[in-house]
Amino acid sequence: MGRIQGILRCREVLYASLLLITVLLLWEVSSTTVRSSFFPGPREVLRSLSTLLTKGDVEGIRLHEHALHSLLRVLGGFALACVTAIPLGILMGLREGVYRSSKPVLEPLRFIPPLAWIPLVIILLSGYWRYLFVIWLGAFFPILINTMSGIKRTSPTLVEVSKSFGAKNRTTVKKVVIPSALPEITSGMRVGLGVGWMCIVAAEMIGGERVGLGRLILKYSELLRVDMILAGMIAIGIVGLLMNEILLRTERRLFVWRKEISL
Amino acid sequence: MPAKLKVKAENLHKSFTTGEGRLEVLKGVSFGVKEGEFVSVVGPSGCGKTTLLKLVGGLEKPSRGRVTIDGRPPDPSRHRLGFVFQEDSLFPWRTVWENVGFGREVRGMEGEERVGELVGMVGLRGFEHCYPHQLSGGMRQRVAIARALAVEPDLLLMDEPFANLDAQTRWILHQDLTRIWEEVKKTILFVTHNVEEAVYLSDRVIVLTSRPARVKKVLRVKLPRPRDKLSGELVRLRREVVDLLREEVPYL
Repeated sequence: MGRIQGILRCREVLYASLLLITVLLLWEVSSTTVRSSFFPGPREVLRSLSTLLTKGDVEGIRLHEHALHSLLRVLGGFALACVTAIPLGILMGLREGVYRSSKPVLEPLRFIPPLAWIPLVIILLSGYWRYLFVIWLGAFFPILINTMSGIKRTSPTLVEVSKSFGAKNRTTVKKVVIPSALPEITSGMRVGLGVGWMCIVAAEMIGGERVGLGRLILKYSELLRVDMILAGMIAIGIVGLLMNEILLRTERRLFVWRKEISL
Repeated sequence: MPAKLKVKAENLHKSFTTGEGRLEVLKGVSFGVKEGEFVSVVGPSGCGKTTLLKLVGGLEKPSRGRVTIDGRPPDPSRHRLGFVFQEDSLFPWRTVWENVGFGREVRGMEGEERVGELVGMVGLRGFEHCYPHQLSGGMRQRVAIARALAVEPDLLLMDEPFANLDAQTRWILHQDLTRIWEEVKKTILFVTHNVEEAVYLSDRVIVLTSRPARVKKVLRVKLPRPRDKLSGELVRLRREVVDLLREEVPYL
């Protein structure tokens, strides 16, 4: 069993690297044929990436500083989203009435993209609150919806078991409903963090400070430096991927009791 | 002196409002269960056996009539009840040990040793730290039984606890349940649609009619334990119960 899985895993790694190499090769070939400074090849982008890492951007701010600032902003907005969305999701999952009566307000809001909020945010908020609000917007709904559906999906039998032992409602919620919803809550958090991270460029467009990955690519857009923009985009992608991976692994470790595998 | 009545059901009615109108499930069910007695309830499927058990356990309220445990209306927070459900009812995020201890935790009962004893009693020593998904169906039902026993109930309510098990496992659990019952001397109300099981395990068998359910007949099983499932008397009783059920469900 272990050996077959090992072989499959090897094969996976092989295919994945083959695909990556093919993409890079196609990119390289097409960029050398086009020969334009607006279409840099992978080697150039890599060079720009290392310049950003070692020497920094036009203002001397290095890549990891940009990443760190973006990360802190996203984590701030994400924390705010958790603190607001999880309790509200639990409440809405437990009380059908709360969900129904908040539906006309919440549901349309859910479909307004964070980007559409930007003009309003520029007028109403300033400083750090701008970042916080835009990222909170992105992270809030995935966490809310997952928490609510996790709570609602609690098996009625398990609730009955708890009641049959004479548990009060509060005890049942604490010992049965929330633990049973925990995997969905955390996967909502993971999705929320991802969406929050994807809002970073929008947030930094209006955030004002000169540091941050989103700011970095905006800066180089003004300078028409496609290689630097691509390097910044790749950095955004990699940091997002790493965060997701870390959370996914934590989830797997936390919920060993689950038969289902989360993606 | 006759033994004290543990459970008394008087003229129980229960109906539910469904999409298609009112569904009458129980129509005047009366019976009693004596202290320490093992009583089974059999009836055609869908006749309201589970509803009856939930009324006795205080998980549902009757539309009419009344049920009492030790003379008072059932209340899970006052009475010590052990419920065993038909479907998978273990908490998947709790280990065997933590599942068995659940009721004690809720009721604030001390004494971890008792949990260990019960795990041993249902034959699961060594599996304390396993999660439900790592156990077989039979083992999971043993855990559910241990969990019900852990609150030291004086009334066990069992809702087709072996319905989803294969014949062999069910057979083993029948013997185990008989042994446990003799050991702990609890009153048991056992709901099943399996006639063989009902007759083999019980002191008395209550046969219900099809929905809306009433008590059709009560049979006494005056046989010493351990019993032989294939003894003449037991087979005769089984036939009698099956004949009664046939009157309710002609195509049985």
